[in-house]
Amino acid sequence: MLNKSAHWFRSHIALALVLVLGLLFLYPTSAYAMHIAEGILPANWAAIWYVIAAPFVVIGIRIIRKRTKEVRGLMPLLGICGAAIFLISVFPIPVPVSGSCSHPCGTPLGAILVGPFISTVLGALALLIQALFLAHGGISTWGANIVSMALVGSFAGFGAFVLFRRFSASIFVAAFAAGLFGDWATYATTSFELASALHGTGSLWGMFGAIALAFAPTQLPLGILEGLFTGGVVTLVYKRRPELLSRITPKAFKPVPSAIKGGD
Amino acid sequence: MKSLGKIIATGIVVVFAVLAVWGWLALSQQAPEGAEGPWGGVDVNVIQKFAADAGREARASFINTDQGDLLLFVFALGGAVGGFAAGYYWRRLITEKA
Repeated sequence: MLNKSAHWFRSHIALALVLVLGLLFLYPTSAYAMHIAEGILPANWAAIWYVIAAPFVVIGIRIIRKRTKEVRGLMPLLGICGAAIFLISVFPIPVPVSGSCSHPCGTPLGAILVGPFISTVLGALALLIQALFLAHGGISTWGANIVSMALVGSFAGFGAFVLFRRFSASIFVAAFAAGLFGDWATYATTSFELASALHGTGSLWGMFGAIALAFAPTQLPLGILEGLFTGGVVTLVYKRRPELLSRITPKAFKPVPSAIKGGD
Repeated sequence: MKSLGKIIATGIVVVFAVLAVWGWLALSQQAPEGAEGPWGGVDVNVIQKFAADAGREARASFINTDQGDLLLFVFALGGAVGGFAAGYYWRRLITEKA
């Protein structure tokens, strides 16, 4: 009886905490939108990014349809990842010393937990809701924002995680690397998207460097924060449901002796 | 061999993290300050600044919720729904039997 009450309390405390934190963190006084806003990109460039994003989203949707039938327990993970990506990517974080605000991406975390293609779809959905209702990003720039945050954030994060796991890095270290490099890759891609569309007669790479350098004072420390967060959450989920993660993303969670012993 | 790989991987991550902190502190003085002033988002301070220099201006969203307190409402609503969903599925994940 006591155990049951303790279990109920623990479960509901988590629910209440997430609800309250979600409310607190999403109560800014203005929309510090860090995605590319409506109207920034010329129509031809906006269309190009849509075309690049589309196949990944379509493949992701097909994988979701297939995997939800095969893997029991995928749905809760999809729900958590979708909500987390949505919350994290509208969460303006003030960066001391630099005196500016920006947000992490959440897609490296999603990619580790449910795979990069599914994470791309979840990121695209989060970006659509933000563009439609939160004055955050835009419909014309949805394709570009999908490519930078959902697609590159997912694949760079997932790639870093798998690579570091091949080096026998612990789950936390590999997930930290995923968050760090996924975040930086996202902003490098945003810099490229802007530079490619706006460099005019000037140098593409010169403008890319200038934009990336302007992002750096804010995004370098946020990458570390995203790494810590990603490492913490992945470690926690892995400790709770290692068998589920091994089934969903076997490339990322091959059983390793240290994990079996609980060394991670 | 495995522990060597582990040490190398951890070392790489630590080196990048240290470089990031160094870069953050070194570049902070050059952080561009846009129209929003201190604590402004990088959308205005970086994206819209470079876009404006290239002759592109941000447009209002198709559904413009950035009016009065409407944006506060949708952000609070988004936070509540997102927070509820995350909490609900987290509970399902940790209580559901494999």
